[in-house]
Amino acid sequence: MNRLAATLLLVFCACTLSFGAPGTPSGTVLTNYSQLHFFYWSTSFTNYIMDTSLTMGSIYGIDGIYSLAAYNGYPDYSARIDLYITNLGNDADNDATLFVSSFSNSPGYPGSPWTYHFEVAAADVGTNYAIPFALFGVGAIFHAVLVVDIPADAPTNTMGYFTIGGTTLSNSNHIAGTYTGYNGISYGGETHAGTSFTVRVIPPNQIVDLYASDAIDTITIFNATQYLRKIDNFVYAVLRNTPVRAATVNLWYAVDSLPDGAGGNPDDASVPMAEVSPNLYKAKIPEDAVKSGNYTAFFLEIDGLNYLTNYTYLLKGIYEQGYETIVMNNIIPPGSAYIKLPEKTLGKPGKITVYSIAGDIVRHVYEGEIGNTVYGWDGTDDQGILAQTGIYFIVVDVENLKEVRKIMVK
Amino acid sequence: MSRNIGSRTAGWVLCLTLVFISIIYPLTSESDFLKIPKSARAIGLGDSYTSIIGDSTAIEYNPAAMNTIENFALSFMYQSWIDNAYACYLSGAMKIYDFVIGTSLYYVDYGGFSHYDAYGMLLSEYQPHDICWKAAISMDGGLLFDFLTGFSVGIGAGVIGRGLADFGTWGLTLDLGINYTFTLQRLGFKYDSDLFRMPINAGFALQNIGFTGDTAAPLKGTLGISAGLAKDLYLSLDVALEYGRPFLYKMGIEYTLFNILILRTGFNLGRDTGNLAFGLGLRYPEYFNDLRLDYAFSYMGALGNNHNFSLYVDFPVFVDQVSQYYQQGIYHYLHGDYELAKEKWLKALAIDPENKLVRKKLDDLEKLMKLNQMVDSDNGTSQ
Repeated sequence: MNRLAATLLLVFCACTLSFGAPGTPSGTVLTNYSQLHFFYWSTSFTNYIMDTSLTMGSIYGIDGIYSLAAYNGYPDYSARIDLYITNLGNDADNDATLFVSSFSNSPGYPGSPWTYHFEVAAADVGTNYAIPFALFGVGAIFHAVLVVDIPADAPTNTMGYFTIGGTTLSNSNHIAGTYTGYNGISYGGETHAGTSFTVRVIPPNQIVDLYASDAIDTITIFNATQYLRKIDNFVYAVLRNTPVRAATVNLWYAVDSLPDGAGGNPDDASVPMAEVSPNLYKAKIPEDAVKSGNYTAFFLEIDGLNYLTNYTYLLKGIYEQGYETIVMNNIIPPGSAYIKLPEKTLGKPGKITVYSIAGDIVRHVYEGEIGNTVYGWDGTDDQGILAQTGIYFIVVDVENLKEVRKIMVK
Repeated sequence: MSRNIGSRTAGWVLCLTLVFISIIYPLTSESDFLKIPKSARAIGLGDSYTSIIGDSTAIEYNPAAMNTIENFALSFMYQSWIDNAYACYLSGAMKIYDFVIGTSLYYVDYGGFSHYDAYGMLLSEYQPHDICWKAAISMDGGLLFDFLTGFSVGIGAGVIGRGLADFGTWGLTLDLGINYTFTLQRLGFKYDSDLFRMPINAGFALQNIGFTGDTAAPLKGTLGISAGLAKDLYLSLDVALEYGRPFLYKMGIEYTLFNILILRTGFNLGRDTGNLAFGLGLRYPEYFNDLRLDYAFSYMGALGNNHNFSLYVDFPVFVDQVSQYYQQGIYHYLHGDYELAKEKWLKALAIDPENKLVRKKLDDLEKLMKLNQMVDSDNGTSQ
């Protein structure tokens, strides 16, 4: 037999090697020592919002009473509630009247009585706009305002229950009734109608959110983490109670070396906040004013009144990663990995590319002029498929900076 | 009949290969580190190494190409890779009887990994790494099938371990290879020219059949050819197809000066990086059977430059003389060269007259030869 039947038996040494890396994650140092209730207030000012719309059934000669939006009354304690009436009457000189048919507060309301009155806002057809009667022509829109004056001692969450009535009649003294006009259209209906709504007292200038950003618009630092980054400390405040906006908002920060304020005289300072979009205010803490390692408390001064937050933050510098390109969240998923390029690269042409350990391109992240932003990689390849578990190299190739950083996909 | 079965088997292997390669894979796999070149000489030749014979690194490129190793070959490489990642590779292959058995260990260290949170703050430090241990065997294909006589065939298996952050994965791979050495004259071109007498090596390897973690290993099929075009001038060519990637075309040239200094250059088309490489080698054939120091440099663009250092040693066979003669006799015996086999075993017996195994083989051979003579004489009478 000149053939050897070769049997190949390869024993795989499937011994389970220990591949665990030494050490365990050390975790983030939490420095917020305060109680986690959101805000408290140093003022008794109140604010008002009417959170219902006004509608009425069609009445003879009147196309209902309606409201376009909710109303706020900060800071003068007056809620101005707009009401609109359209005349579809059969007479060119119909009269209409609006009146508060009933009003009451929450049971046991302890404050001073509320007052209210109507004011004329505008009408585009007609001549006589004296309240409570409005004489206005067919097709005119009559705009009245119910002004509700709420006393300063009204507690938060006090309710004011209003019922509005409306009637119409002809100044020719004929009884309103169904009427067919010269054009064959039938008009008319009820001669009166009413609607109800509630005015609720809420805290003024509620701070919806307070956060810092280092051009990372999607990352909220204040509410999620207890430290700020050292550079570009932009602080944003989101307020409620618009459109009656605060005229001036200042951000105060008290810097201390100890979290309980016992580290000596706190270095208090303030910077004005600019309204960058409705309800959103922004300020930058000077880099030389706060130092890494300081504890900082914040409060807002809104139209001369102070609104405290009970958060204290430990300011930390960006970790000295030993590179000019800063890497953030570099084990993904969840989320994306981010890199921030140094200022010297701004405006320079460049590209950011992800490579595998074999040197193959996995994802073209960005190519173009480097901007003042953070570039992210969501872990997918150029086909949109999530890269497999492993280490990847994100390569910054800019005219004046070439660096390689590591990202892990798990 | 066996030839038909063999052809059919080869057809199936080819079809399966094409199916595997044509499947659309993601651009990445968990064991992409297997694609890193593992020899400075290979890198210097543009990673065209599928048909390079007589090197223990063949375990990584084409296990069949180990088959020409006559002694004990050892190869070590240190490689500085992307950023501060580095790799070490050690392989050895040895001829035992009619087989060449080899093993290798490859370690990739990513140079540490710092885990930063969403604000760039350091959370933890890890030491991610990848390990692959392989074992391979090669032999003359005639030991398996008649139609493979003259071809070297090889098979290798690997065990992969990965340690990343606080977790790891593992995997298994399988490599298959075939290698053939021929001359143009042997193929039927009967011209009296050195060119037609020049040995040419051709190889095909199907690598990384397997998985790591939850994903398929980076399957790759490579066809390569290499030849000494002239004295001291060597050329190698590879065409490879990797999953999810376009065809790779690789070429390398090696030129030896004064029998000691080796110059290499190579390029590959289709890769995103490392398309151009240069290499140097120093040969010291007076030490051991052969001793070679290699260095290679490849340009990887924005990923930085890549430096590789290799040491290759071909040691004399460590088996004793009796065993060597015995194995050589077995080889000739299996190939029907009974006179040569008898000669080797007699030499072995001369050294160790008490060796019962050799004596028994000789006795059996004597009987077989007598039997053959009788059969031959009967055939001659009948004719």
